[in-house]
Amino acid sequence: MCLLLLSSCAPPRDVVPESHDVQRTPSAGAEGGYEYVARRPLAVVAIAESRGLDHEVVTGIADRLANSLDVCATQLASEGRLVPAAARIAAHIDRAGTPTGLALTLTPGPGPTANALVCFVSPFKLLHFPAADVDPQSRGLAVEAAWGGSAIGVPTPSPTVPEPPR
Amino acid sequence: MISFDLTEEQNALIETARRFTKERIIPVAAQCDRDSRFPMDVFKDAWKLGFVNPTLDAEYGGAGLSDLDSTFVTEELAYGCTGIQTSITANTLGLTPIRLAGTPEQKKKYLGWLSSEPIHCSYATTEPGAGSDVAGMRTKATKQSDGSYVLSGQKAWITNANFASFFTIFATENAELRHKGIGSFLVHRDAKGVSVGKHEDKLGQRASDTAVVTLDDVHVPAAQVLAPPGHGFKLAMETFNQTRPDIGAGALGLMRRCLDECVAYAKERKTFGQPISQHQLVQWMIAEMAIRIEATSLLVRKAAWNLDQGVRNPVVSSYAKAYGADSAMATAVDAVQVFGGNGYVKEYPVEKLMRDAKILQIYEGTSQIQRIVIAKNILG
Repeated sequence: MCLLLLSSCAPPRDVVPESHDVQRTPSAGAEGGYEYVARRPLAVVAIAESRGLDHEVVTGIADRLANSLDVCATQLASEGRLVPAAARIAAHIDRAGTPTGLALTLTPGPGPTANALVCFVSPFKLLHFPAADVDPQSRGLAVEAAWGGSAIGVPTPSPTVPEPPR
Repeated sequence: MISFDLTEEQNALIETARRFTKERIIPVAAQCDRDSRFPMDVFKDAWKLGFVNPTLDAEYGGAGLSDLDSTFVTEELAYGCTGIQTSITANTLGLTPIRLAGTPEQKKKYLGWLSSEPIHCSYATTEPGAGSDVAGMRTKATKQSDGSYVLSGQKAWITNANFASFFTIFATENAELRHKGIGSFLVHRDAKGVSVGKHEDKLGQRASDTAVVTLDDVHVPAAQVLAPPGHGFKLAMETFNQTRPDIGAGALGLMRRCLDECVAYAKERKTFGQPISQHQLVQWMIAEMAIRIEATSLLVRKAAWNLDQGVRNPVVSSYAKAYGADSAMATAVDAVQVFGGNGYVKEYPVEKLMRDAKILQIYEGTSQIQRIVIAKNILG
């Protein structure tokens, strides 16, 4: 009976979701013209510009993006699919706190595009900012990111970087 | 030459959908099934990623994905839970008639609405007395002198009825005319006379909302007439042609989940001193699953490719839907069999997959109706 119970009571095979705890970077701060830079082993995320958003919200967003970018880059690297590259997203934040009107600049090429879409653009689109009853044009963010072995350091995206929509 | 290679962008899309499914759908699927509840927070995040209205044209603020790309997204979401996937992707049913037949003003208003807010829309042809026999619908559309219509009747088994901000409703000016009397109308949820029934307590896909919609002398302004009577049936059928490949894609996702669960279980579970993966009759079932998956995949991609290329061949959509749905049911039944007694309890995921699979053979045209369509196409 005990053996039967043991054999029939195997744990259910649920997928354990990855932790969403945000690592903070106590020593991070403004650097090289950026408002805030968050560095991880395989990723760096920098706030190029923010408008109408609290500094703590912005730095929290940068740390969250850096964490997810680093996890994603690490996974891609283990699969041999990581392509060092950089990207920049500029967006407004609407009243509900959703990024809208994304303007995206990427290092050219299919490899960087694929990496960027999965590891940077999608996590950015899922960000939740605080809701605020203000003109959406008054809240915005421009974030730059770089990943891969050569990405350590302030990212240098392609020359024509769009300003946040006015 | 045929190429089965995917582009980097398609691979990135699949990977994004796969990660979303792993992180957001799979962790909540079992509980949502038990509670018969749709996770609206998951829907809103899916909308942000462009998974909700994937084929909505970029011109109206949508992701503008091809039908082929849409099947990739649907398949990945369905891997997590076809119930949650159905209610995430069902907007495509409601918006396709607008894409096909809407005026520029209707497209701008309704398609723009879908892309600017995470809302649902529902598609309503089925009635309590008219399911497979779409032309037998009895919801009445009475034309007024100013070109508006008044609708009265009831629609049944409507996906997302409890959430929809608007409905694409098919009604007839005269039931005796059958398909020649049917028109299509855009009805707002808050229109006077619209009421929605309780969420149905279903066998499977329990996380997907399904309810009755009752229309009690609902006034529809002329600007919301999508297709006048006489033109609605053709619109309904063309909509099904365009959305049936996605049902096949949902079946694909479910089958892949069955296969993955069975492979993992069969390698662990031991009988007669060895893993059951070493028993030939278990191997047979797993091999059959793999064959069905590959065959369904080819049919689904061909059907979606036809749509993207403008190749008019609705029978291929029927192949994809019929074969995919029947294969999913057979695969899910085999999955329960592989798990044995463990497959019959809720602690393991396969009983849910079997319950979820059944509706694939019923909605958007039953497997029997698909065979009638196919036979008519072959025999003339």
